[in-house]
Amino acid sequence: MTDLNDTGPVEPVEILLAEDEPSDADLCIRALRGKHVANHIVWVKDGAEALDFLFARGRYANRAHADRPRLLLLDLKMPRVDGFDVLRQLRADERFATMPVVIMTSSAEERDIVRGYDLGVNSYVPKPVDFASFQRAVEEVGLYWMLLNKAPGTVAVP
Amino acid sequence: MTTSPAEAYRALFENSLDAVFFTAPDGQVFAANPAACAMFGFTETELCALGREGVFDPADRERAAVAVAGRATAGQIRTVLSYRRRDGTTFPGEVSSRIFTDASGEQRTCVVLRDITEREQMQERLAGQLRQTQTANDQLAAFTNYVVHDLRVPLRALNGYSLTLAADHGDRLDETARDLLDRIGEASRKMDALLEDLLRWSRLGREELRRAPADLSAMARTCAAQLAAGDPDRDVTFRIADGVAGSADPDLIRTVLDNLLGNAWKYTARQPRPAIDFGATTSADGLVTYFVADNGDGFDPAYADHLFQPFQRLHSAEFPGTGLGLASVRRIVERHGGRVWAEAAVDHGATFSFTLDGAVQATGSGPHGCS
Repeated sequence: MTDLNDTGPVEPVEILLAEDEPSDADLCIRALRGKHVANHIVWVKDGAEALDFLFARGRYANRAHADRPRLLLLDLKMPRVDGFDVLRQLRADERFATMPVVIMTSSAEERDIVRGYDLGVNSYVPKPVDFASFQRAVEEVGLYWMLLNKAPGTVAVP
Repeated sequence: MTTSPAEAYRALFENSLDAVFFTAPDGQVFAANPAACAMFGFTETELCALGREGVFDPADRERAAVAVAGRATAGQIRTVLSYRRRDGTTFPGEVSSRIFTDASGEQRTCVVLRDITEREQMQERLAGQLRQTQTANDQLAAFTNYVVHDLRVPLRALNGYSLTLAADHGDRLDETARDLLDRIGEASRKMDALLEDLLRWSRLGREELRRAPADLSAMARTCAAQLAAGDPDRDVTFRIADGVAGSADPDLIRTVLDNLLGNAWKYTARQPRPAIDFGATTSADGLVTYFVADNGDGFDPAYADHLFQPFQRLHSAEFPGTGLGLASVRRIVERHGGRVWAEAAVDHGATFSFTLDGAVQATGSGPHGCS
């Protein structure tokens, strides 16, 4: 598989995708690009990397801190740090307390849904197996959060 | 020949399986029956000499004192205390005791004592087994959950890439190739449905039953509307009785209706004028029987019992299904304390009926009362 991450350092990151399954990440990016919802999508492979990226530390230490993605698409079951932990740490930090986060996961367990909302997620979207439905779900999430929704403290896109 | 009351009581005293003592409220023992002697390993004379305090487990003396005081206040008591045998071993005893006044006006007490060691051991064993079963159930559910979610990742890739291939490169494929891609997509959707059923099946066993008043008529109408919306080419007449209600877990009973109405929908596909009825009947003793009847393909009654077994299917692959639908229906209905059965003949439609236990009331109309 080719590197899914865009190389567009001048453009601000619009969507951060935290997903440990390469095929799920690839399909998700394909769906987002299909409708031109976002130009600059960054894919991180687990929760620890997502936190490193957002807090600009580790291998992302040189990243401009103000460059906060406009949307985090978050898988739940990931190695090292899972989605719930990522969410908890983000909500505890005032810089990310209001950042739009959408959980996209295979699990439609009531328990997980409730837990996600308790931790302050903005939306919870189960990932369908059927690609047409999957594509539609990703497109709609992208369109809503990137185009329709206004989030407080959104970094102005030049 | 007649038996005097004194003789009858003597016989009772001698033959009782429980230990019986005649005592005074202060703890003196006047008489102990053979069962008491066997229980403690003392003779009657020895028990009379020891008195009440001599048979209490010294470690449980505080609770024993509370029990004696309680009996003095209430006149009687029933509780469990710890006792000590001649050999120093102790055992839990269920005791029932009452204060009475004898013929000479003296306060006396009668104590009946039962060794409940075995009962407590049995309860502990049962509780342990229950814990083990619950752990096993939880582990099985966690395993199913894990397997299903992990299997869905490659399945999503299979489906996604076959569709992407058809969409992005379809112009370079001939009809056969596109058909083959369709089949890959179809197979992955089928497997997804199978996984969903498996997941639901495993949830059925562990989720708590939350009973509430449920409007089954409304649920059936919603389900019928969804079936019709999902297959707009078909024209099926639904006759859903008004006011069918019951006390049931709303999510689970919806699954029952989804399955039964979904089956009726599926197996009426070859009928020129398909019709599906939903309603309820109430027997003279108030038991409500709910039913879903169709005029579809029916089935051979010889296989009626197989229908509700998990992973059993009567119809060939012509009709989609995973073999867990009716098994789930039975599991849900039985968890509600009810039962489910089916009546049918080949090509003469099928009727699935079920009951739900408990405070069930249906205000519904008669056998084929329709809205």
